[in-house]
Amino acid sequence: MTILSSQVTSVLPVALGHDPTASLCPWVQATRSTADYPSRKAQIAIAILNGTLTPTSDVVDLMYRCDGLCRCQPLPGQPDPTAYTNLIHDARAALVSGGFVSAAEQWATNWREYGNVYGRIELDESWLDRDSPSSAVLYVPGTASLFLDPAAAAANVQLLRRAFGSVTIDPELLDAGYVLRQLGLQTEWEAERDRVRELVARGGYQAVVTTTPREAIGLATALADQAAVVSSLLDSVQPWMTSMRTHLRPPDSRISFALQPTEEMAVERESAIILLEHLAHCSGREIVTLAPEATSPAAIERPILPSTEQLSRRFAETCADELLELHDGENLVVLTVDPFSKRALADQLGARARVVNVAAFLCEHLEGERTDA
Amino acid sequence: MTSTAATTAITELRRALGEEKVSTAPVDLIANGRAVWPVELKQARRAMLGEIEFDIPACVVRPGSTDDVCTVLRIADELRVPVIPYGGGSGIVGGTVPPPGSISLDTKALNHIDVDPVSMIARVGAGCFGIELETALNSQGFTFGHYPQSLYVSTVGGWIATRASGTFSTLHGNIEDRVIGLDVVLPGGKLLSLAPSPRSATGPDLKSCFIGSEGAFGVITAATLELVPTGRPRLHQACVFPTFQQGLDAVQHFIQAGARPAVVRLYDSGETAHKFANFSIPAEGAMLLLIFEGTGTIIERESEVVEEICRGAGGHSAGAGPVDHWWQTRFDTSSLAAGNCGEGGYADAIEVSALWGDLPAVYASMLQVATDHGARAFAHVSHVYQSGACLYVIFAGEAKTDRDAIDAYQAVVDGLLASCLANNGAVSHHHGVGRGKARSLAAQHGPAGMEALTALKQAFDPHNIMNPGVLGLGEMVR
Repeated sequence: MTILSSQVTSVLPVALGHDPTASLCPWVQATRSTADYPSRKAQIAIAILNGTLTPTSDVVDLMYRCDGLCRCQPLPGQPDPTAYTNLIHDARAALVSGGFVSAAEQWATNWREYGNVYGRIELDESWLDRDSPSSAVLYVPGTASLFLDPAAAAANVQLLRRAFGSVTIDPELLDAGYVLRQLGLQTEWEAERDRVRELVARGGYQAVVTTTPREAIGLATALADQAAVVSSLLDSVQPWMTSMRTHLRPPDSRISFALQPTEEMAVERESAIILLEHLAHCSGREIVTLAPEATSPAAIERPILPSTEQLSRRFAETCADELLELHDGENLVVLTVDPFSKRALADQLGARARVVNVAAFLCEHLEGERTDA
Repeated sequence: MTSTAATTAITELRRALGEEKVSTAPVDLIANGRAVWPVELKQARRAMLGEIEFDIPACVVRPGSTDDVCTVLRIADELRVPVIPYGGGSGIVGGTVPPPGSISLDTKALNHIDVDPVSMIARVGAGCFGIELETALNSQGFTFGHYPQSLYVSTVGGWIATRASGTFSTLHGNIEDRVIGLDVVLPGGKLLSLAPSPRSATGPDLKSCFIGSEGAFGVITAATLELVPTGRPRLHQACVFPTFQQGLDAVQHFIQAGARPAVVRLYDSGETAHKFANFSIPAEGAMLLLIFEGTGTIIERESEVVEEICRGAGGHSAGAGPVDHWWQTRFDTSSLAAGNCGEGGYADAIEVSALWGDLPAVYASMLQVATDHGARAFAHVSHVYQSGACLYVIFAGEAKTDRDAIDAYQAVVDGLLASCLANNGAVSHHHGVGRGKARSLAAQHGPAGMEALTALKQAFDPHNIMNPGVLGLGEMVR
């Protein structure tokens, strides 16, 4: 009899399940491949962890073709999505530690040298506002934002300052490091987690805000035993936004929201719905739509795993096609918090729609000053 | 193990179709090496844990067009390489088990959908997932009305190849009632295009040769389907009977009186207690779920007639709550999956059909067989007809090891199907035969029936390359 770890036991219902929602996975839609079913990925991940499968390059690529979107998990009776995502991350960690992921060394080097996995970031320090007083709210922008879309990162800070009066940005803590866990850099993730815990504890923050819900989940994991409340940008400003709803200027385009479903489905969704309701209310007409199943963003890891670049483009193309199918011929603005989604969707949609950072959009459409703290 | 013929086939396929459509990557081979037949799940579990190797084909081919499929079958036929058509991989009877050295022909890239709103039909690629079809049709005001539990992972081609049913079959019919045109590629690469027509008297219906053929005669690449307008009013209604038999009497009565609810599901006391634990049901109570669909006046009157018949048979209304509960969980297959996860555990659902006069005996004998084998079992009736109904028996048991579980599972299945046959039932209603029920099919049809099936196989597939082993035709794989 083989003794299974509790971790493997908890995902066997996925690995040996009937994939009742496999076709909702954008990877399955993009590749039309059975290998992209959650069951097959879980099966391969378990085999990797048990050392019963040689990790060839296709095995490595497959393990990086899951973005934790959890579209495969929306039906009742589905196994715990967190267990599945954790399994994939553990399998990636095993692949990296076994030396099977050629890009991993570069990611780790980048992390050591630049504090992020992407490369050198030319940081515009002006928005760090080092002279502003210390705040109980810490903003961790995430190096993906800084690397890909510094203007959006600046807009995020601007929005948070309007909402909270002041926020602290710690140059030593520009990234919560969860991307390390996602990429399988387990050693680096564990070290970074300890460092982040120490920095947050030392700052005595009441609240920590990340750009994306995915980063919020990662940070919440790291800060599980600390008092600071962790939330994503949109969740954190939602109460303030509600108090400011009468100051919202109606947009002149149809608005869709590229929601980023994550391991814990509830994150951000409610705030996105509330935002869209505010927009609908102030417009007095049907201008907004939330179709998360049609607007999931492109993958966060994709642009940095070269072997899957082509598939990554197809993935974004699928998302863009779905959006256009819903809003064909309309003057469409797609809101997103995710810098990778913004870039990937913008590339795919071209002139057919405008993809805008949600904070930039709100800063542009919220008139007047902050009304409460 | 890849045979010389398979190696040559892979080279030729790559030359003809391009590298990207012919994969020998281990992840693809492992993925298409199984569906969800419990025997396959047990084998996959053993392979994950390193006890055995994964069952794999020699390659996975993903044709992007019917022409590509013609090319695959021409090359495979010339080289005598077995071809296993593979859709969504949701089959639970062993219909896609790859023999060593075979080509897994994955149809999922054949996913076009063209709607003709005037004739209310759609021409659909075989690899289109059910939910993709529904989403596309709904946006144009239509539905196919075929909603199997596997809607999100099964394909149109798979439905046709296995002669499938959806949960709304009592009103909308089964797959064979809704397919009016079919494209099939035959071994050798010839395309048989059966043009859509509302009905014809042009000799025997050739479509029938392929609906339920399980890939043994050719590869279905596209179908023309009849559609239904979407958004028709529905009415949910549940009724509890003191016994399963009283429920059966009521269903038989209202169906034979001409009522046609879209959904009719009658659960025995065991499954009622399991599925509706949150509702206050008497110990031996049997739950009947009904969904009526149509124009408001018709379904109101129809539901009144059915309610009256149910009351007369001893039933009492349970409101809409149990139906709403079923509706919310209708795609949930987690119980079956869980039954096959543990070492030595096995679980499955066997669907048979019987005439009303035979149904009570089929039910009693099948549940007795399961008990005799030490398995737990319960059942429900769904997909009802004037002459009889489908009986869906769900069972689970435990053996010491996964290897033992395969034997124990097969013994239970063989026993269940033998008892079904002994009471004049048919061994499959809508899952098909695959390899798992092949022996029982031979007992069902008898020598003359199998000779006829074999002759058909010989006519369409003289070199026995198409999915050998399914329907008991060709060499058995396992």
